[in-house]
Amino acid sequence: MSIPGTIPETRRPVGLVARLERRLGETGILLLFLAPAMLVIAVAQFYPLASSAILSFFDWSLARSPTVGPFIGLDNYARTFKDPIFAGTVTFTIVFAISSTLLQLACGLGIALLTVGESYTLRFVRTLLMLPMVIAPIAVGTIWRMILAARVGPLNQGLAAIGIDGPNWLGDPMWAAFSLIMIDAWEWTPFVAVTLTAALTSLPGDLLRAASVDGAGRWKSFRYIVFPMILPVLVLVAMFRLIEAFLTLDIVFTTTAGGPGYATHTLSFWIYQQGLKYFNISYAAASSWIMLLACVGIALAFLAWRRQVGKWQVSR
Amino acid sequence: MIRRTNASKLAATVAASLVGVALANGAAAAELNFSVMESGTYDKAASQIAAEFASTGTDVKVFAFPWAVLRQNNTTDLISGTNQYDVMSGGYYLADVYSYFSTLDDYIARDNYGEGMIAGLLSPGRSEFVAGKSIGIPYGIDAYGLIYNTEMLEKAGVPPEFASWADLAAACDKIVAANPGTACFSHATGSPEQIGGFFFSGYAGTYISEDGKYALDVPAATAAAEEITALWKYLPEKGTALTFDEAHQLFKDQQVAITVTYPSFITNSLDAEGSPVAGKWGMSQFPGQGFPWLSLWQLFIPSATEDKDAAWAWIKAYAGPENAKRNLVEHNIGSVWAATYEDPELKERNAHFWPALTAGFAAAKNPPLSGEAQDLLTNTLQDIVNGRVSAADGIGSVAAQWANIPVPPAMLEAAAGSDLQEK
Repeated sequence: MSIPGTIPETRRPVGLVARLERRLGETGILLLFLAPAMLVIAVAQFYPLASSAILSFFDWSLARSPTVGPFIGLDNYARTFKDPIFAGTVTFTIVFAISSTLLQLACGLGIALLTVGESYTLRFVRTLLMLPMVIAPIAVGTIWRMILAARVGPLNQGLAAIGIDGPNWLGDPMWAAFSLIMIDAWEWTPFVAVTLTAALTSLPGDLLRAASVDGAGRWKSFRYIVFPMILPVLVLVAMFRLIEAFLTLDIVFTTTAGGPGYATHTLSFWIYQQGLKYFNISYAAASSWIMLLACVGIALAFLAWRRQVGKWQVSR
Repeated sequence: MIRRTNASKLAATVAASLVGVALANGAAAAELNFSVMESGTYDKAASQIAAEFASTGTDVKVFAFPWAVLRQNNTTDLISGTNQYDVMSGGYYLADVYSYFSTLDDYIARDNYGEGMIAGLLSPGRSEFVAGKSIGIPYGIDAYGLIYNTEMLEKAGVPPEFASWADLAAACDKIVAANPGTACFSHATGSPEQIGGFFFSGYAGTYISEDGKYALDVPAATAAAEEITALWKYLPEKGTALTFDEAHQLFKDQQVAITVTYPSFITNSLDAEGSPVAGKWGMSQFPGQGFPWLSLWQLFIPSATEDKDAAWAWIKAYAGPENAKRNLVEHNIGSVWAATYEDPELKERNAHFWPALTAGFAAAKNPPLSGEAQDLLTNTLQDIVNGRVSAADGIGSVAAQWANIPVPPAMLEAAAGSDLQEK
């Protein structure tokens, strides 16, 4: 019999590990084993972050010189905020991210409510609905670009067959923006649906049955029991999807290439162009940090909201 | 002991084999990696010539990519020092990385390479130079052209001569009225950079100021942008995101009377057997007081290429006069050699468009713009024609933002050579 919190005799380490444990203690050896993974994370994540933060204060275009240019303080940040294209890009990114996320949450919740259950048919339907999520985003963009071709694409051909004159999906700035929102929602609604289905499945059945006995209809049960109980999950999913939508690059790249003109430039697409197409490394680094800080702000706001939701649930 | 001896022998044999294989590989044919556009023309010609070139002892591997990917791969390869490609295809839009290429003056002088080339092609402003030294060898020439359907224009009583885009817009009213159910013209509107073809010909000003900064003559540029906006109304319905193939197909199907495009992309198919427009199309002088956009594909040897002699030999085989006629006939690659256009058989066969085509070659130029400066201009033009911004505001914004984009030194040479810098 072992004391709780200690390693049982039969599993006690022997040999080199035992000697190390004697020298470093249990915490020490745990830290030692974690060190390689921590090192990988530090090198792979923190070093690029720190490096890009430093670069953002210098003037460096890789096309002009292989070595970093002079220190210019906050000039790259000032230039970013003065850039009218950047401002338009931020506006479109916000509209895109919020619209797409709201659409995904509404559709995902609807699908989750309709497909919750354990029958074979429902499980099959859920599997089928997940398909868009498992297609590579680059392929999604390419497929949709072909579908949405205004003159020869199957969507407008289909609409024409039923007497509807389809729009100029990718050639008109407004429709191009709408198309991207729809594509993103089509691809990621299954993620929301699957997560919310899991949340719905975990709800205590007794509570719902008790409400039913007390005369609550489906709407009242949803409004007063189901929705408040899945709200923390919903907030978390909204946070994931909103941040992910802010980072969208692949479907923009393959579907509209940011066009027509600058109509569908997202922040990530803009940064990609600055950094990897024009090689304005330090300017791209400054733009990246602005986006990173915005995403951190969004995450913190959502986490604070989730905490409030938790407190509200407890108070009820 | 015996075991150890046998193991030693085995190890020695394996090591000897590996050394043998390595030596054998070293003695085998030299290898060159060649990057080229995946167009079904340049890449096909490259593969064909590479197969023949193997007899020289050099194995050329052809890496073909769509244009935008080729541009990105070449640039990244040079800047990152990956050095994957020994010979690269490209054009003036690689200006940011010209310093990574070898100068070719010695090879050109040794082999008298420019002899017989279309006059002026191997000079600054048309092919690429760094500090007065040649770095690019032209191999495929094309210039924006205006291709028209003779029957549709005759029906409208419109002669195929347009001094400006405003002239064409005026003619479009007559063309559409005389050919109901059709549109006036098609163009690859879905490729954002291609709108530049209209601007460069419609704008007669300079692109670089006297003090070496990107600058536009704002009133002239605004007028050019307004002309393009007016013309855009005559595209087919929902025709603002057409691919090259869609734009060309509309012309072949006689749903448009005119297509504005690079002729080499389409002329072969217009005359092909079964083409509905065979025998009823021609090419007119390109409108505008500016210049037709030149497409001059060139070959570059990066400084990091180890076997530059082999690379130069490949350039001569691929781009030289020996294969020029075959490249033109089989792959529709515009020859850079004057003799090709004197070939009696080809001259007769192409009489309906060669005069305008060769006149276009003589007038065509590249704008002295880096990729970043050009993207800013063409994306803004797209915004202007789509009504997201007015011509005056859009051009004003380009002029203001160009001030932040440095002009690569090579572009200054090009601008001076092609009269596109303010004096």
